[in-house]
Amino acid sequence: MNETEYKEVLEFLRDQVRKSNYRDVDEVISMETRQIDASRVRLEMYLKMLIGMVRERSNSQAFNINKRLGMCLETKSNDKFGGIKVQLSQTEAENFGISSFTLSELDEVSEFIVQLEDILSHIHNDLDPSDPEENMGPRP
Amino acid sequence: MTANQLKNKIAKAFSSVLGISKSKASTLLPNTLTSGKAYEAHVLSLVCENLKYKEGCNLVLKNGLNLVLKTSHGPINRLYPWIEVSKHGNVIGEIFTDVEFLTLSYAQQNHVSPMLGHFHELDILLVKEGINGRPQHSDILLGVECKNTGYTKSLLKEILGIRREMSLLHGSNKTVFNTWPRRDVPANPSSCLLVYSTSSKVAHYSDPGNTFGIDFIHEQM
Repeated sequence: MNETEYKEVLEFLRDQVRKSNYRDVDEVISMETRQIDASRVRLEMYLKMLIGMVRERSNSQAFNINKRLGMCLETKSNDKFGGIKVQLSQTEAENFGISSFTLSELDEVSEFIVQLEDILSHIHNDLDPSDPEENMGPRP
Repeated sequence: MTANQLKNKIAKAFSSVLGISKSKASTLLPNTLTSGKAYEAHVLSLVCENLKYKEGCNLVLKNGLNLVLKTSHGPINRLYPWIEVSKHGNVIGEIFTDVEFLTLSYAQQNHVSPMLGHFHELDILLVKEGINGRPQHSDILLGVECKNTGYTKSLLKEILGIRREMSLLHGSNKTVFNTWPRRDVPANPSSCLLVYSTSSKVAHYSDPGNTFGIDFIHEQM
């Protein structure tokens, strides 16, 4: 694939992100990657950051956080640490119709993450035909 | 692999998450809110881990079995659980989240009640034991700010302002810690201040922290 095609794929990916539940992350990632000129590098970086941000919004991340806190914290009653609850402000509660949530009730998206990682590895392993150095293979 | 094949893979991946939101929180709340709090929780777990295993502290969750993070900051509210931090059997302080502290400038003036400019918030605060309401700047042992966004110059200016309102730049002073996060800090009162950021760009802005005693940490979830 050439730079034009990588740019086309990046725009397609961004469009998919903006249409999904992760629409707000496009702005954050784009701000971080906008100074990268090479489309392939920018696409790889965009995907890496997207994977990280999807992962942090999943319940598997909450599991790790609770596990770590459970190992660090004792409770007065010697009961097990229960987890982390997020309390919304009164205005947010009125706007969103929910007053609190626990991190562990966030979505399970491990299969989505696996698919994004697979796409990243395809891009990473794709050789650039315009780069003779990269296509030469190992030197004898 | 061709561009079209890649686009097909991307479309297939995204079709698998369309309508995946089964939980009320994921459906109703903006991702910025849930991910910001998830990052704060992640950093809190790291702070606890470091205090326990690097500094040798004992951490006890008081007044409940769940930690509660709040989306709005305010004074210490002991209706919510907090973490008691002790060392060698002596309590050194208590950890609260999303708390406002009274500034150094407020302490140096004679205002009776604080105005809006007289308090600032930090995501995680370790303060001296037994504090209620807004802790004073001199009550702070460790402050932590969590930034799950791109790191920018304005965030650096913000944290430099926070440091200014926590303590004066002053020599090298012993903190209450022996190892983590710091043994000494160029500040009086000798509070530690940490900035955790998901952005790799945080390293570009970290140098002033060497002078003022702010530790910038690039930490992804």
